[in-house]
Amino acid sequence: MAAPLAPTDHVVVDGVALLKIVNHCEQAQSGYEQPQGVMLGMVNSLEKSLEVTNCFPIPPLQPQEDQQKYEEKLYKYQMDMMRNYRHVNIDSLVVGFYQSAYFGTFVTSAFLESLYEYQENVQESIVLVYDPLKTSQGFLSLRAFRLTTESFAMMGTEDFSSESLRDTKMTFERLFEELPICFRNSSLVNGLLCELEERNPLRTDCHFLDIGTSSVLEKSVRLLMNAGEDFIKETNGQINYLRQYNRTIQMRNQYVSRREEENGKRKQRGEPPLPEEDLSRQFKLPPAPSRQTTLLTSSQVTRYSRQLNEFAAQSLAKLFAIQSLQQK
Amino acid sequence: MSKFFAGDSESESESSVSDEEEQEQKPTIAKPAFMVSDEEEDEDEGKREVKSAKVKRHDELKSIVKQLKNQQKIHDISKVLASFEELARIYEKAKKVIEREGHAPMFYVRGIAELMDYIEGRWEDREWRSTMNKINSKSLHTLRQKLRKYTRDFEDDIRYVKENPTADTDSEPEMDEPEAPAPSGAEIFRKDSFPREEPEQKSESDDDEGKDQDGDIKQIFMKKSTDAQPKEPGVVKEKISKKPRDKQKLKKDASAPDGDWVVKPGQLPEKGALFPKDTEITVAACVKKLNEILAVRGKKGTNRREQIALIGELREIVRKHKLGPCLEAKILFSLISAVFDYNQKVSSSMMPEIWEKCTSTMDEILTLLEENPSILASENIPEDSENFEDSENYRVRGCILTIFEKMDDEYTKILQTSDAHATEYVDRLKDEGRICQILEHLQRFLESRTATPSQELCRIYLKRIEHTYYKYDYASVRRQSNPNLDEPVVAGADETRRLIDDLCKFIYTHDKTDRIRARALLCHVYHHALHDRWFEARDLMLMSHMQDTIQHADIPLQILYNRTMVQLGFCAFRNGYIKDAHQALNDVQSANKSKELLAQGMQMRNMEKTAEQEKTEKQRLMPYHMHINLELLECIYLVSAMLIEIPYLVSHEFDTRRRMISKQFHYQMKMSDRQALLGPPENMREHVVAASKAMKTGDWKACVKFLINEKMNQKVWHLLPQADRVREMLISKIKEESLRTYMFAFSPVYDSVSLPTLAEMFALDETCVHSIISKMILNEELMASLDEPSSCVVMHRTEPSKLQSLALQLSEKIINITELNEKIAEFKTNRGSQNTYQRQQGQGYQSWGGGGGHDRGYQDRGYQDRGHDRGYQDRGHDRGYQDRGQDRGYQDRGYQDRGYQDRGYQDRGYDRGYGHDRGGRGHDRGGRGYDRGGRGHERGGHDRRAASRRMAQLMSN
Repeated sequence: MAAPLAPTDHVVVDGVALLKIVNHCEQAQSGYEQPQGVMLGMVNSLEKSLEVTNCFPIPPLQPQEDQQKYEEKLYKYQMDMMRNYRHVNIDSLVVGFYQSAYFGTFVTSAFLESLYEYQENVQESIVLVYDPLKTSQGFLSLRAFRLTTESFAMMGTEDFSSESLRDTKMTFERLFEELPICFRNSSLVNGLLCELEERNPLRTDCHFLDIGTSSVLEKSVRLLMNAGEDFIKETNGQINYLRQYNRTIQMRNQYVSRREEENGKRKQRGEPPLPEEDLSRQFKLPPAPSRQTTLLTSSQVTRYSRQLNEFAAQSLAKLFAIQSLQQK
Repeated sequence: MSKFFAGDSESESESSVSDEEEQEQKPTIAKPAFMVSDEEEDEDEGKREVKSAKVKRHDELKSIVKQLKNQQKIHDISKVLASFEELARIYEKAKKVIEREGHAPMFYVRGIAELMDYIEGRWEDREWRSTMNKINSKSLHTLRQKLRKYTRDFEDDIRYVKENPTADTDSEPEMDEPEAPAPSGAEIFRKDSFPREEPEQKSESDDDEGKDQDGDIKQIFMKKSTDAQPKEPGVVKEKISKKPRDKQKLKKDASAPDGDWVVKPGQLPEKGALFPKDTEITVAACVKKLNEILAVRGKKGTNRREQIALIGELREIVRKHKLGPCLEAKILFSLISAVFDYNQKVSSSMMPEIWEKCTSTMDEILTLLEENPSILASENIPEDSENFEDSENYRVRGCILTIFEKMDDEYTKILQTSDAHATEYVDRLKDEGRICQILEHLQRFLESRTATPSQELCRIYLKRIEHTYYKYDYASVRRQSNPNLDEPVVAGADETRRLIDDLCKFIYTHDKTDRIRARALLCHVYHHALHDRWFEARDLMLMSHMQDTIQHADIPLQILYNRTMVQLGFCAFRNGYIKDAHQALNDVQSANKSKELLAQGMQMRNMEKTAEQEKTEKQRLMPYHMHINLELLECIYLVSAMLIEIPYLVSHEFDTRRRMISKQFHYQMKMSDRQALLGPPENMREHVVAASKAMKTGDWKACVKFLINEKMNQKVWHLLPQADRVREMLISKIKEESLRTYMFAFSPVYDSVSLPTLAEMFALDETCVHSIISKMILNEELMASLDEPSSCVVMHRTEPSKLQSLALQLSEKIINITELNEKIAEFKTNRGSQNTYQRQQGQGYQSWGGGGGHDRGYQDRGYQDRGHDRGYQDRGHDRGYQDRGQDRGYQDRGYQDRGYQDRGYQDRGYDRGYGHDRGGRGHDRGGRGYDRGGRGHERGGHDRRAASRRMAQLMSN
């Protein structure tokens, strides 16, 4: 995909789509599989926005089911759904997918790949990540991500070696770009909402004043630790690679120097020099490990840290407030 | 029939052929007496049809063999040659069938062999050769060469055939003898012996078949054809003697020369037939006779049943003629070995009537030997120095002890092969009493003989022990528990304890082979453990150092060792030594192979075993009445594991390096966690798991309820003797451990707890609570102090909170990452330079070997962990246990397979070294705890900062 990405710079989510996403994610969060779904909408090039107008869930893979069969079924299902939507005059352009994720744990290679696939079809595709836990605490958490141009290109070449990372100046921070989201409702719905608000005003017993911080913190630290473990594993792999690489290089150098010495002697004796050999075959360099996982882990760790920061800041504020209350 | 008795004019050789045919053709004709052939064995029609191809081929072959013989008679060599060629051709055709059978049919090989003899005979006869015509002489020449070539393939078989008739001729004189003087008797006998013999033979073959069911078909065939053997040599001989005869005639008139034809059945019913009537029956004659009878022993085709009968008869004669007890003993020895021989297969067991014969003979020998002390029976006496006549100095070869051992093995085999859940087993088991009687009798006998070597006494004592050790001595236990009860002490029903003690002590001092001593010792321990004498059992076990060497011992000994350990574990559990119970049972239970380890059954899933292995394993299986209940074993193991593991689990909830004490227990817990819906517990495991879960929250009442209820009583607890005592013990243990668990789990919630409240909560004595809490404080499991005046436990709150401990762990991880990153950076800067590379490598290995970085990080906290290790165990008891030098062996062995646990124990051992001091410095502890916490945080904070800084640097590179 050589064409530059369309300059969409924000996402507009329809109320219907949002409610459907929330509904699906809340209902289907029993199993191990994260609920996922396909979003439909259109690209509004006038306003440089991507509009998400509707969506439908993807049935999860059943444990006994065959992977291949599942995919076939899934494809048929998606086509059917899109056709049905078109029949009732709803946008049928796939503009990405949504999934739920606790504590922002979503940066995996599978995630990366599916996002790449969507973007390969429609460049403007995005992923919406919904966090049911945070929403239950009173903050609606919905974030839109897209692969950056660099990472998109890199996914295309599937080259995640250290060299290419260095050349493209790729870092974990530039793996995804986040797009601002705004919600949009029809005037009718807005009117209804206003009326509802007048009739029964928002309840005040919100969870956002909750100061039970330790469980969230514990969970975050645990996740960080897991990420750290992944990191250690990856780094070990890298070290092993480097060690092997160095050893091979060293052996090759020794061999070359010995050969040169020999050739020098032969020259003195007037004999023909030894023929050149294929060094690269004799000394095979070990395959360089992919840095993709490291990138992803780093990205995930950053996300955790930011979240933790955010959370700590808010909690601290609350704690201070409560402290002052208690002093009185 | 017509085919069978083809033509009246047939020569004798034909009748012999038809004899053979008869064997093969049985199904189509009336079943002839005492012929055991392939067909006879196959009772159902289906099989017969399957084999029709074979029968057909055989018929073809047979008819040609017959032809051949005829032609030999008339010396028509050219025809013989033609027939031979035809025979070879058909044999080639039939090869497929024959291959399936595994070997060439006997009549065929015999035919070839005879032909060979014939041809050689003709060849040697130069006179005759010169007289014959040209065609014949040419044929003879060709035939001889062809035959030589051809027979090369059958060399083995032919040799066998040639040998076999000679084997029979050995026994022939004896068989002929009775007939010679009393031909009419033989005739009468033969007439009525047919119907009589038939069912018997049949039943025998039926039995054979029954036993062979599991054997492969090939084996059946092999066996049958050898069964059929004995008749054939006779047939051959007839042919050689060239006496014209046909079958019908034979039936009517069985003249003396034909005697060999009926030799077999003839021996059975006729008394005195062994010797000619007028023979003077002397010792020498009897010995000779006996040797004759025994000469065929073990040879193929010997009728074993008949042998037994013959020997029995001989014995009668000896007794009638009063030839002395020694000869009778000799005969009895032979008789019993013939009885043992009765079963050809090692794996099959004796039939009841044979067994009956066996025991009664055993009894008779014993009585005989006892009544005649002058008889010296030993296996060291060679045959030729036996002495039957000198009444002062009888000597006979044979060892009654060995015979008894063999009989005992046979008995075990009988039990193994009978269905343990049928009444048949109970019937068989009744013989155990008889065995024991014989055993005691034998023991008395051997003891009374001064000449008995101590080694033999050891052997008989071991047998006695092995028949006693696993039996629970109800009578003596009842007497002990209720000394007032004036139960009449039955004579002979001595306390088994004293018996076993005495016997074992004798063996310990006199035994020269380690094996008997080891077995006796294990039985001794088992017996102690069975009767709740924990300390005796344990000390004996530890003193033996058996744990170190048992891996190298033979399998039966290992099985006994496993059984003993299990029983020891039970005993420890009943006496409330939970930890010891767990240790003892861990080995057997951990790999989930308890069934195999105790030889109480075979694992089905292990398919990689060869049939051979399976067979030997089957032979090792314990008889059912000696089994240890596996459910009981598992339950006791799991309950012990629960009592140890749950407090540990709770106290180390956030420790990432928490080690598993019992894999099995964890596995069960995990399985139940995985279940989506948890119903009420059904089986024993679910009960234990449910109890564990209740215990985790310190809910001892629920825990007890799960463990001790009707269901569990039925399944497990009723199996233990003195179940009430065990249940009481269990309840008190559960209370104590629940209290500990509760303190681990909920101490962070409390500022202080009053001891009376705790005592009330757990229905324990206040002193008991006090001691438990004190112990926990002493072991640094609980950061608290006791406030005596208010009798409260005051928490110090020095333990890091969950979050704090997690943060500490995270910081450790991050330090790790940083180190790794630095290493990568070094690689990058020094790439290609040889010297630095090597240096680096060295460094790398240093800090990497065995996770060096990790270890270093933990070393600072090391003593804290050790504290916990030691904490969970019952220290007071444990130290006493370990102080004995030999104890270490026991423990080491228990954990040998599990390296990490070994480490745990070593650590603990080290701890113990300064553990006493620490007790004295109890007061400091709180302060130290503070220090440590502070230090930990400080370091964590520092490292984290450093780590994140370095990480940031590297990332931006």
